[in-house]
Amino acid sequence: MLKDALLEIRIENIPARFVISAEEQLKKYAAQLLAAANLPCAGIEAYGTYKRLVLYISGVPARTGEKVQKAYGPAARLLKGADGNYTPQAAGFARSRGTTPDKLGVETLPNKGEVLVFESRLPGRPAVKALAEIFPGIVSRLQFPKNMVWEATRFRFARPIRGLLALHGDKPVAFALAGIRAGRITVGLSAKGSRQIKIPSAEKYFKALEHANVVVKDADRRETLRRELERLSKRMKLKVEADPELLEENLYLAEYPVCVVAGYSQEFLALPPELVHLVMKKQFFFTVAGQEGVLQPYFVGIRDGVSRGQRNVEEGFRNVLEARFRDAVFFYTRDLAEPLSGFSLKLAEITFQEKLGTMRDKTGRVEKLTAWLCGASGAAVDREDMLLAARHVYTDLASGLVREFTELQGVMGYYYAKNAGLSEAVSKIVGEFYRPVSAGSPLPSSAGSALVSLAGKLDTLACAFSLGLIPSGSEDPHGLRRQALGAVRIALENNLRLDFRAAVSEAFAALPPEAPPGAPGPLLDFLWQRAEAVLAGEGCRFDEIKTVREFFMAGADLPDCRERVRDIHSLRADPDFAGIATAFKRARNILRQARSPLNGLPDEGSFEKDEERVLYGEIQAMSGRLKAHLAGRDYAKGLSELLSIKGSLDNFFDKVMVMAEDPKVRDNRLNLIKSLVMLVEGVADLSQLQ
Amino acid sequence: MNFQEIILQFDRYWAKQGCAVIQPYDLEKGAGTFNPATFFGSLGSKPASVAYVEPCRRPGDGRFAENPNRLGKYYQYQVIIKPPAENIQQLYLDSLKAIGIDQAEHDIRWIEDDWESPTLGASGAGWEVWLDGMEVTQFTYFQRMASFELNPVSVEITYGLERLAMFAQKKKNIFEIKWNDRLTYGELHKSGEEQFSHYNFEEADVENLRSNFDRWEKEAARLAAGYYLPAFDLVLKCSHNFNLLDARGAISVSERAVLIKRIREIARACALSYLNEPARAGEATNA
Repeated sequence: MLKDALLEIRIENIPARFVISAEEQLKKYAAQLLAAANLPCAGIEAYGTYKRLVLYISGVPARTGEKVQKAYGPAARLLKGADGNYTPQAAGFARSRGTTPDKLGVETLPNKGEVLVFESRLPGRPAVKALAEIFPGIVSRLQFPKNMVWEATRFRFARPIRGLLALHGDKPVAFALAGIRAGRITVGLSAKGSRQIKIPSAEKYFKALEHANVVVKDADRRETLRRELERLSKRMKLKVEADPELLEENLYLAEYPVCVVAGYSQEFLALPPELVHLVMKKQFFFTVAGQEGVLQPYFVGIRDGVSRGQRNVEEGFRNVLEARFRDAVFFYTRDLAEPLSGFSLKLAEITFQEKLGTMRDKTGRVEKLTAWLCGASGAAVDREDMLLAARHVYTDLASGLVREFTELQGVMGYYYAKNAGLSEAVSKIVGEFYRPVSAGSPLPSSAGSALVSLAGKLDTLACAFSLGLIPSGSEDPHGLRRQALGAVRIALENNLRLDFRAAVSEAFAALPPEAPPGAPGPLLDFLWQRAEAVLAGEGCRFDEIKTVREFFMAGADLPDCRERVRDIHSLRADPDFAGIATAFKRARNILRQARSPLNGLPDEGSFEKDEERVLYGEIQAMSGRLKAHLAGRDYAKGLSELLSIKGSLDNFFDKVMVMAEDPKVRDNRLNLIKSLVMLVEGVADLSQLQ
Repeated sequence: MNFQEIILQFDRYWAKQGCAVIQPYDLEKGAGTFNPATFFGSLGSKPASVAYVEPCRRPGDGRFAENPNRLGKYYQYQVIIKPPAENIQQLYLDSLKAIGIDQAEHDIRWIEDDWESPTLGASGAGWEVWLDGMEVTQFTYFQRMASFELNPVSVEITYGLERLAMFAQKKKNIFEIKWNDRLTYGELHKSGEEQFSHYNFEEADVENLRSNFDRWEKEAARLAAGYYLPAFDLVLKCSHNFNLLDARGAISVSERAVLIKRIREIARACALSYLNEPARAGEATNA
């Protein structure tokens, strides 16, 4: 009969960010280990709270399936000798497996050819026995960004494990781990005294915990919380801003989330709204807004527990929040009283990187790059505004508030620039300097703002690559991928006609003389990889994107690269296109066999066959139009021109033997092909297409 | 509950849990972790259970007694238990009950915060404990001390006594905390906060601090092998001098890392000498 199996790992408050990955891992390893043990199941689910990780396997039979085990022996030809008797090798192998040579079979293995094999069948065994090995196996496999030890066996886990509950139906699954014996005991909600609960069977687990005020399933807690926030919004006739990130965070701070609503003093709404949001977020509180998103002096906090002492919690939450606000007001007021030039001076005292000077030096480089980009990008921008803004992009780093709330770099820069009397446009450029702050978040809102932001990113990247801090694998401590992605998105969305090769070398040239010599090539390639990701995200295929890589590396601007890729992508549906691509590849391969240098200028008088003449005629007729399309960046039309010669190209390859005996004829034909290849290469490297 | 009553209740509670209730160490320090009972006590394999009040000095945190939430000198209540009891979280929650804070009536949450002290070469895994949103305790399972991996590990519970008192007495200003039924915290400590803020930020003689640092460091290195306890006193002095220099704004970013490393090295020499003592020959430690 099928029963459900359950594993609950009870831990001391595991951080939210660990739980979600742990749930995925629980499911993955459970599937692997169940399959290896030949123990089927109907479904595998995982849940988590800050206090428990739960693996729930439904429909598990009482016994594992029979398992076939194979042992491989010597080569099959060694089974019998010339005399027809079993060889000593075969007999020895059989003996070592406790059988006789007549029970041996033959199987072909990939690297070894035919070998002798002995198949034995292990009978099924009780599921609880198998689970007693599977469960600890799963727990030991779980990986966390950070582990610790806490007891004598020095088992490593994210946080101390304080209990193990393991059942198959109503039967306990017996094992021990980290000095703890698995049993059928768990505990209820901490706020209600963590009362012990005996779980009669896996199937009754969720109900039993619900009675003990623990909502085990993440989705249930999320749903409860969302409904509760909506209900509060309605009641207050305001909007509780359910920031999704904050909502997730809260889900893993409470096993039984209860909302706490309270107000705070109106005076704090004079603070910049971004600051109000951040202070709230640090306390895990939701903000409340009225019409048109204007903040109102209320907050919603989540507590872990039932509603006893609700007044205490309300008051406590409010006191802490107001104390934090008062701190913010203290810094903000002081910062507003300090002139911008004061901050600028202080930047000279903030080291950026040992060999790359101070933040003041970095500011100088951003100004320089901004000036260069103004000229190089061809964008219509207000140069004066941009240079003024560039001078202040880092000034808020010297402010008290940003030192306390580093997340607000840039954002505060806007307020301090405004406060110093700079125009809205200039202040906005300062405020948007760090955009985009994450993969999908907004870009700088104007072309000028975009260029200053790009200047900052180019400098940061050049600095890192100069110091050899190049991200590898999943490691990217300095967030360089995000910087590069930001640079690429800015270039694409502002349609910047910018030669990144030149921009990168400009950025390296601006570094101080004592900086280690940089590697512009790797940085350019690093930027290209982000561009590939963006283009792929827009629906282009990787082989299509690769056809323009060399263009980018040689200085083509990103919008141009994107045009080419998009046009290849859409023309690819045309049946003739594949033919052209194949013919192009073939032509390139043939050219590799050439022994003398080619210039792509065949001598018409030396053509021997009509197919040669016709093809060359068409190429010549088409080339002028093609070049005009390329000059006008109309790659779709350019590609159609190429498609127009498909017929004569096919005829040529069908009827003409390029590698003729006579070297003169041969080279002339090679030059004919070369003339075509040169044209095609002006559009894209079609040989990359798969 | 007044301030001194909280301390008395904690003493009683942790004594009942088997802790030796000891007295503060008589030198300036930035945190209870610098008390030799914690520094040396967490090294080696011998079980340890101590509890004590520790006055802490953080020169840079002083605010001339003008900020209702910040002090340059304050009190920690420190508990060290090695190896940690299995129910240590519950023991902690019960200790709050002992000072009148019942979890059933409040919100208690454990917010990830892996403590470390680069000066002591120490690090751990743990939490800030939030009581109705206010951080009142740092709860840490030490993993390393003086760069030595610990076996067994210790748990360190550090209560912020002023925070708890403000909470218990519903005060919004530290200086209004009732120390006993007659005296306030402000009456006892306000002048100290004012005077020391001036000293720490404006008056301390930087040259003197620097030369003291250099001389004490040298002496600590000389003493560590034979007399690690006096040597460790000099580690504390260096550390406090560093904090004063920092408050005076006399330390640049690059110098900061260098000075911290210098203190860490003499602290490590003291730890090594302690672990090498014949008395600890039987204790297993992983260097």
